[in-house]
Amino acid sequence: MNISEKIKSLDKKVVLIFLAVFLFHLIFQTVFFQTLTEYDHDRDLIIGKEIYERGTISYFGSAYIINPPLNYLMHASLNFLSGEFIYLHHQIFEIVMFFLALVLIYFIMLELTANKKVALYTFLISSLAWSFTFATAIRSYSLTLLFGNLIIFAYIKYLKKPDWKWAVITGIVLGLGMLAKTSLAWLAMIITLHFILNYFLVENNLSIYHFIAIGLIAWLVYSPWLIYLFVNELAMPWKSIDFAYSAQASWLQNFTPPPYWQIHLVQFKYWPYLFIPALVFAVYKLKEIIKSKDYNNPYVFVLGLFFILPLIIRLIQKLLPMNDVNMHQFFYIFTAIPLLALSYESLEKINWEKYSKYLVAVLIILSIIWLPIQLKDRGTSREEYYNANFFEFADKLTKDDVVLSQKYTFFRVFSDASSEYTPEFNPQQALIYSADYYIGEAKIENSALTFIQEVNLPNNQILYAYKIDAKKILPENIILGKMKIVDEKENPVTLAKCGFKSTNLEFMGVSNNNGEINTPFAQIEENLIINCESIGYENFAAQTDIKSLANLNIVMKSKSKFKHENKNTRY
Amino acid sequence: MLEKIKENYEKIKESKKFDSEEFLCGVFAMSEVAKIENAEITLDFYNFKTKTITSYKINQDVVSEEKNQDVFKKEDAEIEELKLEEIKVEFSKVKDITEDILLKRKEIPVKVTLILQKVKVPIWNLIYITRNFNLINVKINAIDGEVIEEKTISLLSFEKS
Repeated sequence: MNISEKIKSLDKKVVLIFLAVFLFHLIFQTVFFQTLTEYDHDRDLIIGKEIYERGTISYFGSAYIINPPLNYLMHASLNFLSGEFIYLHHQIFEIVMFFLALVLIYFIMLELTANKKVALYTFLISSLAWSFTFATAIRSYSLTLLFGNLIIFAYIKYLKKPDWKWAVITGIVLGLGMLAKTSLAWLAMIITLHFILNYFLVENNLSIYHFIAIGLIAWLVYSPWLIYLFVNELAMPWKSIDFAYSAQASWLQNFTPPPYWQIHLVQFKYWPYLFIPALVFAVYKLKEIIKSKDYNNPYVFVLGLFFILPLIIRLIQKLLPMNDVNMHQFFYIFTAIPLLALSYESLEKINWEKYSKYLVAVLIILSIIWLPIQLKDRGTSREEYYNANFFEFADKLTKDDVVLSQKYTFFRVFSDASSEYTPEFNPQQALIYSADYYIGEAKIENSALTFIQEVNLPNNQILYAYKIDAKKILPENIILGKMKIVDEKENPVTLAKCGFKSTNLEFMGVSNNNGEINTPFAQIEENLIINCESIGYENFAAQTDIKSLANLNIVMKSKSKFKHENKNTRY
Repeated sequence: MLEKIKENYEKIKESKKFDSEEFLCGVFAMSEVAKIENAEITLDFYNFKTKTITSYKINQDVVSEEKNQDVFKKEDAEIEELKLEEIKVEFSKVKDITEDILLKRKEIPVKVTLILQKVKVPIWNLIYITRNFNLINVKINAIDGEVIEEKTISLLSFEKS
């Protein structure tokens, strides 16, 4: 059955419920609960905007790659389509992706149980659960959820009917998924494990060639990104993914890792809707296995690994000089669904007409218990986030702690509300993030920064902390410079590329249609070197001792053939 | 907002920390848009003898000050005294005007900076940082409510060379 037939086969009630859920999220996320649902950091949008405006994958002009590019590119494509950056478009895009991920939950459950009622309730409950857990369709999580579900859906389809078509589709969505979020490599590992166990241990129609094709296709889809990283001398994904190195995402989140014995229990707090059914089915499946004495069944191994793997990861973290991290959360996001998927044969045998009402009742009771807890938790974590204090955090650091992937690599611009990386002090970034402080490894002089203290780290490294004075960054009265690039007749020179350099200040700008370039500062401490170039004009170079860029005019000489001939002809 | 500024002004004038050689030259507040009415307000006083600025803040009736800051202004600009009694336009009206401007420009504000200053006339100078990563600056005459200037600056328009 192709997609259009599948859509036609949906009954009207289901379509109406889908529509209602979509509208609920659209209104819920864009109007009523912006504080819960808004982008909790703007990095993806900024990178998307820079791709659109400059054609480079950059973040405030610096190559900055923490995630693979698909999410950035999709946001950039929205800018290309509408010809401008409109926040609402991006928000709606995220909501649509989030909604499609939920619809896939319906189809996954339908594939597993062939029962519309169960599929529909799982869809509805997941809609609520993921809304709050992910605060909602924010950052790259919408695409992560969408591709995660697509991978699982495609793989289940393949398992049910092992053929080239679904093997190829699984490979493609797996590759695309990893291009959206590297963490989806977890699913590749789970699929590999499941396939190998099934292939060797049970009677099946699986083909090893299909398996190789899935891997090769996924790799082919993903590899251009690795080539891009290699060519541009950027960090490879395994340098930044959770498993290689990591730390709590930020000192602001005040993350306390759960004790070993609680590591699985904690998941019920985050993902109860899928975990509880997964475990109920696990018990059902195990009962079946014990009854048939089929102990070589791959499900036993996968279930065992599901329980053991996060503990092994935690043990490795303890043994190696790494902080405890919440990376196991990512492992758990999707493992409930594969666990369900692995028991698909058993699930089909269940009399869903008889048991669906019990499942629905359990899900409703879970909602009543879980949603208030989750809402309270979100409120508390937000409060902790705002009240966190970097300096207290730095005081508590021990010799072996790892912060933000490497030992003591701190984000440079930070505030009580957010922290972001910048290789140098960047006033615009400080404004966007309402940063209160800047810390760096070297002392700097900047009129917007007031030195407050040295931060001595346990590895004898010293960081320099500055208070940011927003007043000195802001325009005019409070100040941004504006230059105007004109020709000899005072006509504006558009698209002139100008570089500005002084001791503590270095930036580049391109003039707009009015010939204007806004500069990050109006006050210059030292002499300023200006270089401008534009097609049709002679290069401009000057050194000036002016101290204010508030209203500076730069005159560029036209390269006009006639003009020069007139000037230079001496007959 | 204006009432709060006036109250704070009186408290600062009565405070022992206040230097009689100073006059009010600006008011500054910065916060999320929804919280601007309750934002911490800084009153800047210009010392015409030392040619420096002292910033005063009031927190639970306690006045704190930051003295001897360099004046940050255009080279040729003069510091003018801001007389609060000259201000006739309430902040609520200023908010209405700026909200209309933002709506017309399809901009959703996230953070706002409020500056009350005098440049020939008293001015409500509002600077919004928007969801589109733009900075929208609106200057409104605090006597008659006329919009003196409105401009947009992209905060992503700079790059390192």
